[in-house]
Amino acid sequence: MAGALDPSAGDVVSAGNGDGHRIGWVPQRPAQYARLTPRENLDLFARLESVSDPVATTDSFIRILELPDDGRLTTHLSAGNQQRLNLAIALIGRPEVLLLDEPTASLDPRQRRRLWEVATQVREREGAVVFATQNLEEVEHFAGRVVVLLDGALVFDGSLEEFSNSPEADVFA
Amino acid sequence: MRNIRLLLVKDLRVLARSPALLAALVVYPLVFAALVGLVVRYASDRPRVAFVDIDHLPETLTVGGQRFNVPRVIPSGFASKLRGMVESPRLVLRTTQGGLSGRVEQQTQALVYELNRRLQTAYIKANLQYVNLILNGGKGTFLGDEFDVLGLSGAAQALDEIQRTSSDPAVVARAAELSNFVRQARLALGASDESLHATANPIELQIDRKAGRTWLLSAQLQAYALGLTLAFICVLLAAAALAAERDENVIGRLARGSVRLRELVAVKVLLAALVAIALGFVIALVFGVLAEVFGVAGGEPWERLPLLVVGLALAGAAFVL
Repeated sequence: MAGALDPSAGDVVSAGNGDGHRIGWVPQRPAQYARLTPRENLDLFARLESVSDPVATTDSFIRILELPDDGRLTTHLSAGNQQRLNLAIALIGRPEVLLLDEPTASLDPRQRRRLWEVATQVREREGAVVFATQNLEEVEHFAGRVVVLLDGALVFDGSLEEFSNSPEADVFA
Repeated sequence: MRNIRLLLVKDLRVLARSPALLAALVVYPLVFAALVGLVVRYASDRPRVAFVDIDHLPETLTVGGQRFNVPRVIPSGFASKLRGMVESPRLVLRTTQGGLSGRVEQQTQALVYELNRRLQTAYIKANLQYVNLILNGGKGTFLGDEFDVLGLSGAAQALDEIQRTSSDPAVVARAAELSNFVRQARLALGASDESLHATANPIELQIDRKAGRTWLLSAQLQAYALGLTLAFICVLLAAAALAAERDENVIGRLARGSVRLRELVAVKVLLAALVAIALGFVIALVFGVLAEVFGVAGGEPWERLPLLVVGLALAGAAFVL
């Protein structure tokens, strides 16, 4: 779905007018330039995404996600800060679809809460958030539709309510 | 184009923030240039040729009254023929094909040529001493025997004396003929100095060597050093930049977004070209300063600099492509 890998089979179909959707991608391992500061990373990706006012947008994300802005290079940031920068870069192009791969694996509870607050803003503006997680608590809080993959095979596809009542929920609990 | 510019600026910024890489970029070409210089220096160097003395001959040899210091170069029977100044002694060089044999042959020929030249001078000098003895008379030696020579000048005086004192017209006439011959012979032998030198060296090469261009800072060597340096650095730099982006997991994000892969490659080509210009320019300036300091005519790159910039950019980009 992120387009990072060539599909081995099948298609990815999204609703819309056929012009394609802006997709934000938050890989499990942060994808950003280690020898740039968070501001420089955000500014670069904002310009690459043709954001109308990259400087203001960068300021906004630094403030919202409480990213360090003291000139430190990204490589010197904590894992949590790096993951939030990872999220900020994914969001900077105002994506209609946000893909998150184990986004909270290296975050403390406060940082997790902050991440989900920002991520859910995409859904609130009529977008979609697709996230992969092994944390059922996050599924219960944030998912509307659940897909369960086991060894690469689809074993469940349904609403959160259906999932909660299915045997799979007990298996993965 | 905008994406390329943005990523290029990013790459240059990352490069500037990598002190170890920058240091390597500065030090590496200098070390490389020095190595290239050494390689070129020794590649064109003549091989050392040694001869083995199997007869344990003396270290010095006197030929034609001149001492030669030619230790360990003379084979059996060589010295006696050389001293005799009648028969040319022969040196035999046995080599194989390929390898250094060609250059060993050249080196040996050069050595024999130099020996011949010096022996020639000694032979001419010795022959002129004999000619002088014939002209003016005196004491001479041949094969260790000493003898007195009247000489042509003495003969002329004796013939003049005969002509003045003899009353026999036939003797006077005969003495006059001989005196005439002696005069002609003296004239002819008097010119033997130039003719002997001319015979030995029909064409004389005079080498007028002035201070000037040396191989070390020549434009050609500078071009070699620049080309080889950039060939390594540009490829390594572009590859390292791409590898770093892959390690940072950024290529997937860029490719998924608005940056096409060919734009990413174009950025690295431009990065290599820019680094090639900057680095090549600095190296050329260093070469120029050294050429000025050491007074190497033709080594200064000042007039070539505008063209050099174009060449450096093309070379840097070409090496990555």
